[in-house]
Amino acid sequence: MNRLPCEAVRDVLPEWKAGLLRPEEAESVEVHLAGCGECREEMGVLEALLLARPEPPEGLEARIQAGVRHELLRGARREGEGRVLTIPRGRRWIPTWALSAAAVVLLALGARMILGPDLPDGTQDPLLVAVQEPLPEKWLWADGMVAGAPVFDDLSDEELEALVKALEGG
Amino acid sequence: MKDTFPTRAPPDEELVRLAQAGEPTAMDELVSRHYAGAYRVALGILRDEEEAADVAQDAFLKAFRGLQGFRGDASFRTWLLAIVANESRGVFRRSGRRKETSLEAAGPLASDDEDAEQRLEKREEVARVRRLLERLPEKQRQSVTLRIFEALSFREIGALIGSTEGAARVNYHHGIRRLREMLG
Repeated sequence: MNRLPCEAVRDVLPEWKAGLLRPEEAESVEVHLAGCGECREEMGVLEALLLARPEPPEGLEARIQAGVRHELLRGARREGEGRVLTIPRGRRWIPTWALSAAAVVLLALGARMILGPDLPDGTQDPLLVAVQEPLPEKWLWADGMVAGAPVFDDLSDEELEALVKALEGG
Repeated sequence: MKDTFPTRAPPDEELVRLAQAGEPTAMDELVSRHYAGAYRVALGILRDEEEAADVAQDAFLKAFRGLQGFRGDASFRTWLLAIVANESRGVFRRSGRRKETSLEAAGPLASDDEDAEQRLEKREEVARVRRLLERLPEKQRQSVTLRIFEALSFREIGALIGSTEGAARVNYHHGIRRLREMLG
C-alpha cells in the first residue's frame, strides 16, 4: 500500500539516495516510488544532478591536511614563546635561561659598582643574592636588550659559568 | 587469539573531541570527511576552482583554530560549511566579479569501467545538466545543489544562504520543478 504523500517522499529523496534513512523509512519510500511515476521522474532529476556533482581537484585533501598540520606546528611554536624568545633583527633564537643569566650578571655588576668590591664582614655578596633569586621574565626586552645592555647570546653554558665565576672573583 | 570486533568509524562528535585535545589524526579524518563538501560550497559561490580550493583550506584552518570554542550546538559539518560560505562571500566581495563558465566544466568525472563513447556521452550529459543548473535563479540553484550534493537539511540550507527554512524548501522545490521541465 502506498501510504506516503508525494510531497513527503520528495522531501526525503536526497537522504534516501544517500542511504541516510532508517530501514523502515527507506522501505516506505521504495514502496511509494514503485507505485508513483511522478516521484520516479523527480528521482531521475536527482540522479542526473548527482552525476553532475563537481568533484574536488586531486590532491586537495592532502594539501588541506598538510596545511592544518603546518598550522598546528606554528601554533605549538607560538605557545612555546614563553620559553624561547626571538630577536627579529638578528633572526636568532635565544633561550630565556641565557637572557636571565645575562641579566643576573649585569645586575650584579651594577651592584658591585655601587657597593664597591670590598664588602663588610657578615654582609651577603649581592651577586650571590641575585643568583639565588632569578629575575622575572618581564625584565627582558623584545629587542634583545636587558636593562639597556646587549645580552650575551653568543655565550655557551660553560662560558657564562666562567663569566659568573670571574665576576665573583672580582 | 586475536580480537575480531568489527571496527567502527567514530562519529564526527568524537573526532571533534579528539581534535580539541590536539590529536592530528582526528583532524586529518575530519578533513577527509568534509573537504569535498567544503570545496563544492565554495565553488557554488565563487565559480572558480582555484579560489574554491583556497577557501576550503582556509576554512579548515579557521575551524581548527576556533575548535576550542565549538560547543556542538550544530554539527561540525554545518559549522564548517557556514565558515566556508562566509569566507567565500568575503572573497567574492573582494574580487567583485562572478565567473560564468567554471561550474559547467568543474571537476573530474568518475569514469572507471567505461569505454570512450560512454565517457563522451556522460560528459555531454553532465555538461548539459550543469548548464541548466546555471540557468536557475541564485537561491534556487544554491538550495538545489546544497540539498542534492551535500544532503543538507532545509534548515541548514537556510542558515547557509541567508534565508528561512521555509524559503529554502520553496526554492528547492521550484528549482527541481524547473529542472524537470528543462531536462524534459
